[in-house]
Amino acid sequence: MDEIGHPRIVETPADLEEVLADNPDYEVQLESLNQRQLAWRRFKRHRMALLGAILFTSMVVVGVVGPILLPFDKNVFVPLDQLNSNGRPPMLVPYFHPFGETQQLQYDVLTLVVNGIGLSLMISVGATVISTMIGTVVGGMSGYFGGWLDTILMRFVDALLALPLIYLILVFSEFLGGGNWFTIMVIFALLGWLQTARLVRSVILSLRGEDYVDAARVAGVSELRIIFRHLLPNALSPIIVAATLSIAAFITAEAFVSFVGYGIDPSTPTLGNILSGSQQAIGSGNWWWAVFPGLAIVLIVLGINFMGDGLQDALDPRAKI
Amino acid sequence: MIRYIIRRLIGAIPTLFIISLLIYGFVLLSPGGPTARFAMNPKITPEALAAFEHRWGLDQPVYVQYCRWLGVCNPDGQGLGVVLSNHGLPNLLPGFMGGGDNGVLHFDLGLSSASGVPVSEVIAERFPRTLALAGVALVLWLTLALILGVTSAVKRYTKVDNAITVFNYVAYSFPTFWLGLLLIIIFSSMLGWFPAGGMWDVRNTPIFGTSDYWAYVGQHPLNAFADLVKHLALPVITLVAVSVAGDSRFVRAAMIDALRQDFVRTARAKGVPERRVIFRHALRNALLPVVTNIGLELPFLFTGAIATETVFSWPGMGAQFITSIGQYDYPVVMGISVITAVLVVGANLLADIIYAIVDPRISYG
Repeated sequence: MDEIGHPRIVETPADLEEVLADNPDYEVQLESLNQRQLAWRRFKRHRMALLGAILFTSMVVVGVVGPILLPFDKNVFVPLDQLNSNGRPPMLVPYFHPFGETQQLQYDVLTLVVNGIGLSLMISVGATVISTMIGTVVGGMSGYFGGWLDTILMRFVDALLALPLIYLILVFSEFLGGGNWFTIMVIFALLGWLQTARLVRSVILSLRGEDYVDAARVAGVSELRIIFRHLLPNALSPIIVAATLSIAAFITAEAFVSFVGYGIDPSTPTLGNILSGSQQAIGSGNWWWAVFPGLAIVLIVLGINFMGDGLQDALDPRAKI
Repeated sequence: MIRYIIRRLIGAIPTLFIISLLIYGFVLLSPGGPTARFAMNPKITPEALAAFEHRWGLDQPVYVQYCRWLGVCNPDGQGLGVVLSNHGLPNLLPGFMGGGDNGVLHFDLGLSSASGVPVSEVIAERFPRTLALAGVALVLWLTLALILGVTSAVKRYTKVDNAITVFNYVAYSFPTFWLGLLLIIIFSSMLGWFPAGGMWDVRNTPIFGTSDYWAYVGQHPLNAFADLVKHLALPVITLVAVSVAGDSRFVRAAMIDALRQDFVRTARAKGVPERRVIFRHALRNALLPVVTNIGLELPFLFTGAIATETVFSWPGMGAQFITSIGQYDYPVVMGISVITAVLVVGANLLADIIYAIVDPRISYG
């Protein structure tokens, strides 16, 4: 038990009662928190979410810092014996390969994976940012204005969602002269906004009839300002959750598309391309080449999924504190 | 009710029309094309090329080509008569009603540009193989998802529930094809228990679906069955593990919702045995969203799992789709895309209709 005079912080009324039962003399002071602080508190309470956030952050750190620290050049598809003259100091300690080497060309798997994590994260985070913006604008307009604009936009979204994704990616990448990571990122962004648009539209539709929207309109607020200042901030939490989860979806999608051979140029070490190359070596017992990049994907996706669930609970203002 | 269904069916037509426009438009934007394989051939003269283009209608304006592909226009027609069939009736009517026989609307998907075989035959050959894989997987994963989801909901916040939840999270985070690779590494490459891919043992089993195969099944039913099971094992495990994760989370959430309802408390208060409460009162109500979700998963039975089929070289629709894209075989790519899209739209419709039928709270006026 604490001494009297020593301040204690409790977060729930139940905890407060417990403390007061032991020390009836405690002076109680209320501190109000804003929405963001409340959300952070709910998120912290979610142990899985915190774990997910740590996992995801550490993968980001690995992807960003790793390539700088590793003894091999970023251009990992240069055979190893040429690397010493590549502007890097000759290695004092013979470098060992903790994740093994790839077959034949003997690239270091750790270097490949670390570079792959960075590239794949860059693609998926970039695509998420762009697609969330497109989806928010389209969904917001569609939900707010309704009518024929809504009908046309949503029919178009339905139609695109009914087509096989891999086919759309192929068509877009040929159209954009694709193959490099930037094109794939743009393609993902151009295909990824569909779900966000649907989500935002449904939220806006349900909020459109609220009194504060009518009040704003009567006060002469412009339509665009109503959408962006009055409606969208209320739709922010589902958008944030969906965006978090879509990073994971893009990581998997990149891996899959590159794996079947229609993604980024095979010489770029994204996680999917590394896996794609590993397939030929499995028959001869080289399992490490396939296992480690896949493990990296699982860790990133798992971290994001945990985080997404935690965010969903944290950002829902109706959830109990 | 019937009015609601008819209204939804009519509502799907614009979506399908946009889909057909998109599919056709995307193919026009794509590389290659019907004449691409002649580009490097010195024996093909410009005249021969022109004759080829004329024969297949490639010299027509794009909208005429699209109209013919769709089956609204008759390739034999002239001028404004193109929309009439050879019987003088609108070409888009079904064949037995005096319409034409060309185009997607009449189930004519064209010829594969890689093999010259009609696309419908390519699909007919591949479809049973995908059905074998996806059907077995679907039955298994739905059963498992129900068992895991219900257990997890009934024993909420116990160790069992936590274990199932952790399994769900982890399995849900696995890329399908990587799980397939792992299984191949462990059970095929290291342990040698199962084959790494394919659908039949090429050394002693004829090609699946041919008359030779059925003759072989007649002679050695046990061998044929064992061979099929051995090849099915790994891809089915892959599909089941990944799909169970998503679906059992869904069942759990639906079941927890149902268990919270007043009628469940009433049933318990009346002294109904717990088993009966769970299965008769709660589960039947929880199945409502689950059934809708299953409806949305059905197209997969036909189009197959592209990732799984690719990793295990399963000769089904998904693998065919990837191969055809690589060969620039657009008739097949378009055919499979059209079927996928129709199935997805149909499944959405079906899910809505089932929901409206099963849930009395939804009005469909």
